[in-house]
Amino acid sequence: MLNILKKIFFILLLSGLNLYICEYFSNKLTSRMELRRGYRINKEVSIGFPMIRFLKILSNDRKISIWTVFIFILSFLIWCAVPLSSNLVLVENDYSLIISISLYFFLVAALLFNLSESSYRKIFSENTKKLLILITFMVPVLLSIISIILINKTTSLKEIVNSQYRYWNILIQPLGFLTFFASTSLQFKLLGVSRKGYLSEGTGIGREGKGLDKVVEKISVYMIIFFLIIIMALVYLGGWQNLYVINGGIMLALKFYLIFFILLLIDRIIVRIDSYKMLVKINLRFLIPVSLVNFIVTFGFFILRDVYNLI
Amino acid sequence: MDNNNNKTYPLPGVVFREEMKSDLEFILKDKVDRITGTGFDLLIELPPENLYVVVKELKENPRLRANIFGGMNACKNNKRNFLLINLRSAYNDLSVLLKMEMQNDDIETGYIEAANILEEFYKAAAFYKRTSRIARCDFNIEIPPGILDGLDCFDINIYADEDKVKEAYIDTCVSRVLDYEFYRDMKIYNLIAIINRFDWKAGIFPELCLCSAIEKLLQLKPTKRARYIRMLLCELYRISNHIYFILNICNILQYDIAYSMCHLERERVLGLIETITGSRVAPNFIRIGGVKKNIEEETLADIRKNLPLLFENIRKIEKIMTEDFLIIERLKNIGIISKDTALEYGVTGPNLRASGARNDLRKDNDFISYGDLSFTTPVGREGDCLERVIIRFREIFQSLRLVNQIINNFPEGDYIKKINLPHLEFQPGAISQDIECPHGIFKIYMEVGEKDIDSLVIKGPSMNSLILGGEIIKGESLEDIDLILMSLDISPGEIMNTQYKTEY
Repeated sequence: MLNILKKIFFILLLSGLNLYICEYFSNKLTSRMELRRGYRINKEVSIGFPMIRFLKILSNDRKISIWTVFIFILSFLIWCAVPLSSNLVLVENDYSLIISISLYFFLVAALLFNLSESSYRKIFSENTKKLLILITFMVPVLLSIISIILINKTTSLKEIVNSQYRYWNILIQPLGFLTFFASTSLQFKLLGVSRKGYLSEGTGIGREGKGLDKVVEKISVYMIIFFLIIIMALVYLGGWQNLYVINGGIMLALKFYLIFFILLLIDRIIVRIDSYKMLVKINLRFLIPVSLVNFIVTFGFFILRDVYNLI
Repeated sequence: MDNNNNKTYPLPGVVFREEMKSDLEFILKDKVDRITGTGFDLLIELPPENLYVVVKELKENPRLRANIFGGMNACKNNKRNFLLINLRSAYNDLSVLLKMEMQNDDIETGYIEAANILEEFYKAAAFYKRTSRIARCDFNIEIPPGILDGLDCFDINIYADEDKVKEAYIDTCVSRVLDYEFYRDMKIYNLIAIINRFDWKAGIFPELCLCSAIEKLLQLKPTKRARYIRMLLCELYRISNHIYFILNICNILQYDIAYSMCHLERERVLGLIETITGSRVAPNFIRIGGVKKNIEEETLADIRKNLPLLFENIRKIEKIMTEDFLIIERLKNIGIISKDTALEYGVTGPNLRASGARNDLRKDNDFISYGDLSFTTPVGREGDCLERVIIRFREIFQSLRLVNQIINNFPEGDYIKKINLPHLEFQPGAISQDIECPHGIFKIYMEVGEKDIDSLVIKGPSMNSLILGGEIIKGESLEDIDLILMSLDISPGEIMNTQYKTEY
């Protein structure tokens, strides 16, 4: 029991610390980029800024809905089956990948339900559209994950990481990694992690964009991105495998921050994609076909290897 | 000193205007009180009851064909109250101002009646009609000001079927309310100092328009150096305004890298403006007969040094924007304005040129001293949002070349003609002045007594763009509304509350 509490404490500590660091660097990059004279964030960006912003948003009293509670629980529950090291996992399970992905789906669905209570119809329609587009971006993620499961013949994240002791999965599944990464970066853009009005555009208008539910929404948005990055690092980039003398935990942290910064920079150089035209152009004509080709090739390989024993 | 400077100000197209005036007098002889020439326009004074007949004649007479509705303004002061309607023709450069004098109490009803009459001939006049709030209950989306970044001067009520806009109603009730007599008891130099508030994106143009009008009344031509300084400032403000436009488009597209680069370049241009005028947004620099202060050689050298940098950096922004397929896909084929529609709604400036009409006052009327410079007017074809962005880029490069020409041919001499401003005396009369500002044609109509200004009507081009914006968003999807409205370059300073419009 004490061991589980210890693990919960560690996971909470790690996610909280990451939230703080990532929010700080996101703001730092914004202030670096917006060099115009007298811009407010230039003065406010300091090590304590995320805390100030958190308190500022929280200071506005607002009733919360049941979906906000679900979102809050789910955004931490999403880590229950994800191993952060060989020991640091709450629920050791053979189906940890499937459980994690399902929880991620539930979290997005809960976000969608939470947004439908928005009073401004334009904001409501824009945000629900964003999340619906985000759900279609899950299709390439799913296809890539299925390909990985077929290659490794397991749904346990721990075993997938352990199977990469010789070479990482990115070498076997480059197309799968490409679609997963592209999908993650587009989800990053859609959720608007690095923007002030991240999910709802109309921040500061009426009651939108303030209060406890906004804090919870922000945490959940970060957790979705953290989750995708960690899954990417575990599934494709060797997870906590040691590299020569460098410790596995440090390697995982390095991979995590490297991917986060690349996503943060990509976020600055692509335009918003929350329109159906863009959905057709990017997802339906590029990402889904590529991931489908990858899946079919992998599936063919799987049949030849495991059913007919030809390879 | 150059002998040319002492000549009287030549009125452009005088011969044509005299001919048109005699034609109008013949056609409308018993329907109007008086027809006079006021600078750029012909002023037709008529009784309110003859408005229908006169407008019908102006619209349908094959000799006149006044098919463009410029706008409608009410003017109230302690001496006279009148309505001013601007009609233009796309075929023969006819531009008329219909003036209807009314009693103080009648002006509200007169305004509404005139809007009802004009609606029969011009679609754009429907905007000025009175609309009751109860009739607008059908709209299912209300976009308050503030959601659309940078467009805080109106709210939009939309009836949308799923994702498509079926009906749209733009309400300017949240925009600023201007006192009818804001110029009363005000000295002319004070008026010059505050008139730049009418266009806070490019404040030099209202000042220039007012000063040019007064100079025309006084038959005073500024010195060549003053004219070149004015042109230099006009072009710098035009660049600044167009960069601001692109910056806003990038902001809506969430294209942060180009957004930041635009900020840096605008900062560079505003820095140059600051070194010349001492101010960034409200210059207060143009004076009657010249400008406030001279430009030093060091300042010119500074501008010369910055021009290649500006050119290079803006070329870079253009390249990253026009080579990004995501931006092209997002901007292409939305908010299409055909040439005829743009002309019909009285849109001017780059928005009109993007639709394919070659219309530039700098080129057509030899405005200030643009005749000395060699340049071509960039014209687009498609008339969609992408074309409007591209035409701004082309105008920036054109302005940079113009600045280069101005600096290279910068004349010596006085920067102002000294006049006795406190004891200025005018010949009583009316004058109208047009100017090509970055959003379109900025117009001032002024009536002067012997010592001061009696009536002043100011009309910016953004109102026409806004009226058209309400039309072209119909049929577009909800996600494109902000992009379409932003691509029309609406300056909130020019949008003023028409108080008779909404019934509460």
